[in-house]
Amino acid sequence: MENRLQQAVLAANRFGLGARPGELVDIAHDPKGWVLAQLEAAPDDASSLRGLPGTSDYLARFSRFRLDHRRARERIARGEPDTGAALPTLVERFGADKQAEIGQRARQQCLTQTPVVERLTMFWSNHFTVSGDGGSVQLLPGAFEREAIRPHIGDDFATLLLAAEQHPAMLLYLDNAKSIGPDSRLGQRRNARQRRATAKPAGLNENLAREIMELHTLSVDGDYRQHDVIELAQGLTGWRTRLEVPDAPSAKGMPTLTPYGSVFQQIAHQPGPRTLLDTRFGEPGAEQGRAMLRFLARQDDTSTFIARKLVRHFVADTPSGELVAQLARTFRQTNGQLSAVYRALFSHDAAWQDSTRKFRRPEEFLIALYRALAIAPAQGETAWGQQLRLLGQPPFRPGGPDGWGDTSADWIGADALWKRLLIAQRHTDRLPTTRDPMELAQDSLGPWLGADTAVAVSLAPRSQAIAIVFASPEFQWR
Amino acid sequence: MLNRRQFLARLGASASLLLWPPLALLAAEGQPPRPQRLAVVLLRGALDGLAAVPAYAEPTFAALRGELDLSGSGGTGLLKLDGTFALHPALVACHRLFSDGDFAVVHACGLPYEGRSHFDAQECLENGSDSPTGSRTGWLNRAVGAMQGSQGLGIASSRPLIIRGDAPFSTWSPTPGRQSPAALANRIAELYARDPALGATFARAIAAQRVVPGDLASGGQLDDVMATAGEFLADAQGPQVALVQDDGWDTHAQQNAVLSRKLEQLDSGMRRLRETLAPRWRDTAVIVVTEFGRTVRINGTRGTDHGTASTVLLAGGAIRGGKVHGEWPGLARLKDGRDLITTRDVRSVLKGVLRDHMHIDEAALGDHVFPRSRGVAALDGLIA
Repeated sequence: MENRLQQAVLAANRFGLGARPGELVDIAHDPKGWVLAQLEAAPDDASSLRGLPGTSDYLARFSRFRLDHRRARERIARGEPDTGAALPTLVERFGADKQAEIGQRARQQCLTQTPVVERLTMFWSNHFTVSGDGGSVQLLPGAFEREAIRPHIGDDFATLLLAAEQHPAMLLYLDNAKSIGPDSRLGQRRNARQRRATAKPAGLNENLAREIMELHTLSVDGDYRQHDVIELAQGLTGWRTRLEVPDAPSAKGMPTLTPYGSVFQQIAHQPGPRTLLDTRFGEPGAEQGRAMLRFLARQDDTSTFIARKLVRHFVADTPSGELVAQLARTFRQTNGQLSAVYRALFSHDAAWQDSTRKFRRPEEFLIALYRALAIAPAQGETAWGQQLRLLGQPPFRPGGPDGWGDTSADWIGADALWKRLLIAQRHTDRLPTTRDPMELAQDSLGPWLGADTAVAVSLAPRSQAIAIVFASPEFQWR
Repeated sequence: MLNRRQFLARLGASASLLLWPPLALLAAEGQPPRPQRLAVVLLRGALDGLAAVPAYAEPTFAALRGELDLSGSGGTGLLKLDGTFALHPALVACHRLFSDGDFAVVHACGLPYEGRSHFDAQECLENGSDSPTGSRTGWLNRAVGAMQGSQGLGIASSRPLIIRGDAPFSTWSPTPGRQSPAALANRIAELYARDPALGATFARAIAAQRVVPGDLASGGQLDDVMATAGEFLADAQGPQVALVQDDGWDTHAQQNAVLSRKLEQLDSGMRRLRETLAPRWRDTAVIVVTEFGRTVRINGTRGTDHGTASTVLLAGGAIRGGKVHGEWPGLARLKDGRDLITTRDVRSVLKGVLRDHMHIDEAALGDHVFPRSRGVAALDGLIA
């Protein structure tokens, strides 16, 4: 049982989100089985996420908001009298929605009975980062995760890739929504108007294409050139959203890319075949870009990159070459079937070694704390977001397409530790009086609880003792 | 060999905020730490350069600015710098510094990015390239990287782009008021000593809980944060470069009231920064930047909208002050009929300070610190 408990705490923390009271003992019956069973189970109904608007909804409301403000500015410019009715600011109009997105997702993470699935969802959300920094995109990271990521984490990689890159949030975040093929009908009209001869084809935006290759598939070390980036970018022209084409999809039978508000606009698409990594793509319309993405998904650079990221995320900052190679092989042998890759990872002995450990990122730390106390943020409560901002991981805002860093060097710092002490102190009144701090320590840390920490917990008065559990060095790792 | 208790006592006793053991080690090895210090104050939201440094003598100024022109505002009028420019009435300490030769202005500075999106412009300003997506690391980090043995400190709870990168640039943020975890920290210090990955870091966290000004409990107003930056920079074993940032400069409405308050904060911050730097002020350059300027004309809600060219403020003993640098384009012609015309790339100002004050060579500045910017010449004459 001793060894099983060791494995159980690994299972709960390394592959899950931290143990809820009594969970370690349950998991100890079959730790590997507990992890693998979650891969088989039907996707968590994610009931905490019900009732949140979809992307289409957010886009429609944002569009309306922008229009109202633009009309008001035009009235002022024409010198018309101020109607006196002040328009709501963005915070006033959408503040509650953004709060709800943060709060409900936090509830999902704190309450879920399938934390392994949750971890995988978080992993892929971070891989395909859409950072809610500004404009319409600030409303969308939560919806993007619900619509493009969560349903596909068990599919093959190409399906997940296509879902992410065709989603309006990604098209907006990485500027593809405004990208126009220079020789497309729209592009020609635009160039004729501007009569500008620049070295760069006017209207084409390479941002999404570059990040797809650098961050989502081949990796920055992958074997591709600037020429390939441009070709992919041209293949993706016409992938737009209802913000740029408000009457879509009804207008001119414009096909949708997803049911979430992204469409394919033929007149913006760069005509002609494309050549990516010496391979020719002659498909028509949106199928061209999709074929190029599926091709990237099949490259060896991609399978190696994904394998390495998975191992780095779950097991160790410096991934073991052997484990990475194993996962990459599984990826290739199954045509990128992700559930097979996860199974290979979670079954491998190298993933269950005590000798490596990962530093808990602020979000993981906070979720583990809440789970240990069996609490979850209440509806409408803003403390979750505040705490994460204090800890240095503002929800939905990594600030760049490369997402949150995944090594301890990104997160360990004197100030970072200090802030965790602050948080540890804040929740000392949340342990029910029927539970004792030592139970809390054992329930959440199991055999990871060090002798010195146990002594400190047992000697301290109740409130300090609870804080010590969460502030302890053991609690900072998974 | 010091035992742990002695080690911690030494950290606590030294009047230092010892957050960077590598630097302490370097000092111990006999490498002389360089004396020059740099503080960058990043004002997010687009500071109205024409309000901070009004061109009061321009013939069309009053007509364009309406009530935003404060030249005739009773007793507390503008603080003149020369025949053309003045400072906003709230910038009293800055004005004094100007007379002392420790404050200067560079007008009509702009980014190579010409859009008016805060987010994109800030990305461009912070990544030091010619576009919002030109680099994923920050120029200030790359500048630290170009200065052997230097370290930076950002006063922020997360890592803004400007300080991201491979060079050593930590962050620190004030502890919000309420119960300090000092007692808890001391209680568990022993536990951390046993964790090989966290032990040293935790010890530094305890050492850094030294005398922190009481008013920092307010959670980080600009002047408090600037004062703190000065403390860090003044410390012999502290960073050479500090970043301070502040929000709330996006004055679309009621600009006079809002900006007056904000500029008072900035002015107070400058005064306190000078105090906390003390003798180090002589070796310090302070750069105050923002992502773009604002419309010259007042808008319909007694404020201004997003513009193009703005103003860089420079301060510190190292600066050649008492001067308005740069080329003033006048207000007769405006960009798109609304904005001050840009006559100088912001990067040329940054390069001027980095080259002449922090002694980073031109080649490194043109290729690495500001990628692909060989064509942007460093502005001469900014450093005394």
